[in-house]
Amino acid sequence: MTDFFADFLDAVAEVPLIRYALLSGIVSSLTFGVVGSLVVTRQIAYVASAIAHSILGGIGAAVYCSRVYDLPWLTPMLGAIVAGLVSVAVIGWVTLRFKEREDTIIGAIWALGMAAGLLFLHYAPGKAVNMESFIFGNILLTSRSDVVATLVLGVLVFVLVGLFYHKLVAVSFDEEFARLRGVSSKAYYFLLLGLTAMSVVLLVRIAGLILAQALLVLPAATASRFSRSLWVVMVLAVALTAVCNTAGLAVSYEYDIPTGPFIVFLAVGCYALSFLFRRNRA
Amino acid sequence: MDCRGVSFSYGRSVVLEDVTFTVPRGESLCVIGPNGGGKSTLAKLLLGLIEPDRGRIAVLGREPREARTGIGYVPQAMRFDPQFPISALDIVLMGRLNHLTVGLFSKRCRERARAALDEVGMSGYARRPFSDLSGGERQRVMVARALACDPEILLLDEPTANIDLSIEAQLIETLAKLRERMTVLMVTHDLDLVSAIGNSVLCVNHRVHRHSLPLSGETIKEIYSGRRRLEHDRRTRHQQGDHSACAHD
Repeated sequence: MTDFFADFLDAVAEVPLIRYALLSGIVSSLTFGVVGSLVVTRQIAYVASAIAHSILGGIGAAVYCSRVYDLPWLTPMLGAIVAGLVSVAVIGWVTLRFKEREDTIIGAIWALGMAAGLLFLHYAPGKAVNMESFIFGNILLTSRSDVVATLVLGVLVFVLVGLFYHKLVAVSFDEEFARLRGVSSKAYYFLLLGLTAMSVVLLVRIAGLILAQALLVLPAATASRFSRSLWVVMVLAVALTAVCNTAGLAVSYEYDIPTGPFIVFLAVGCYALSFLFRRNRA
Repeated sequence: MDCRGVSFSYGRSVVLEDVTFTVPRGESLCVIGPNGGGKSTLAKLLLGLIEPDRGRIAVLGREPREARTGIGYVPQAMRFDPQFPISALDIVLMGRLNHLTVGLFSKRCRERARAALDEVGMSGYARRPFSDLSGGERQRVMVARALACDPEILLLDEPTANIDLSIEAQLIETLAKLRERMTVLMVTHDLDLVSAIGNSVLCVNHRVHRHSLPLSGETIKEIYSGRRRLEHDRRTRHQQGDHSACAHD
């Protein structure tokens, strides 16, 4: 066991690739834990998943347009940001306007995003695009600038949630009452969706769509089973995400296992284990 | 509160039709009637959450939307996610949201919230999570949240629904104290609560009809069998000179 940790620490000290992967895993925990806790308590995990999948449409469109119309500035990340914001607007409007049909409509947007992404990437001229890197990501390809961007996002999320914590909690718990006390529930709902979209967009680069969704929901869902207030859920979720990322990276390094899927495996395992313990009374 | 000729429909379905009534300051009015009769819709109209198709509503002399800060609203506690990670104090603090711009609640807001909890006999429960409270305790926390608004009007939506009899007695005791210092409007099916708290009763079944207390057994039967609405329609048509309608009724 001691050799295991010594080996991993040596790798962190000597190999920049591992070091950046570890740093991005820890730094991204801040965003995953805080935004994920809000997503889980507001019970909009499926909305977050729909936003994540619609981002693939933006990535595909950006790759296609940049190659066909020779627009080198149109990067996949820019396409993902635009698609994320568009999907927030559409999904937010649908969930507020068509409550009785929202699951069907969100399912359609989810599928449309993926289908559009795959079609754009299929017809994009030039070298074939590796879809797997978008879907599963590769934390080992994280660069220094990725770590910095993730840290900036984490701080932004932390500040925004800190400033509007009580209003976000009120809108999540009882939207109608919050509205009666002068809180614009729609504005805070869109703020939450926007934070979710930006988190997923940035974290897809290092974690991929599947891992980003898993880390957004599972640690927060695990933490919420044992916590009595939302800020404690957030702290626990941040810690749990950091542990899953670090342990997943260490084990995958030592035993040559794909990192992203193994981190998802750990997050699911923690959530499953949480059912062995007593949860708060319903 | 003053409603004049208010009508409201959800699409083609008419929920309230030509509703007129007044609630003077200090009155305790119980709103009763069959399910689907429009009780909750009337509460939403008074809160300004929806707008009437026709007619005019004034609450505390203002438009309902502008008068919201003067109303303490108590929804049914059972409609909330019981696993939501939140303490009783944090729920009560929501009553002070209009005093918060960003950041944390002030010391004064926290003191007011604690006082509201104390008023409903829940001072020892401030840090208790919502998930650990019983149905009756949750309902009392909701009343405390409404009191933290410093309301002139307390509007309750079926406060005794889904709670057992011993808890109901405690809640009735709390509400009986509160009605002495504020206007109370309560949507309920609970006739024990009506007789303990109400000064008068408003039967809502698409139209409204006021009753004085105590309600007779015959009146209760009429209200819940829907006959009251037919009688009201017949009376209206009779007043308008449509005597043929009476024969059909």
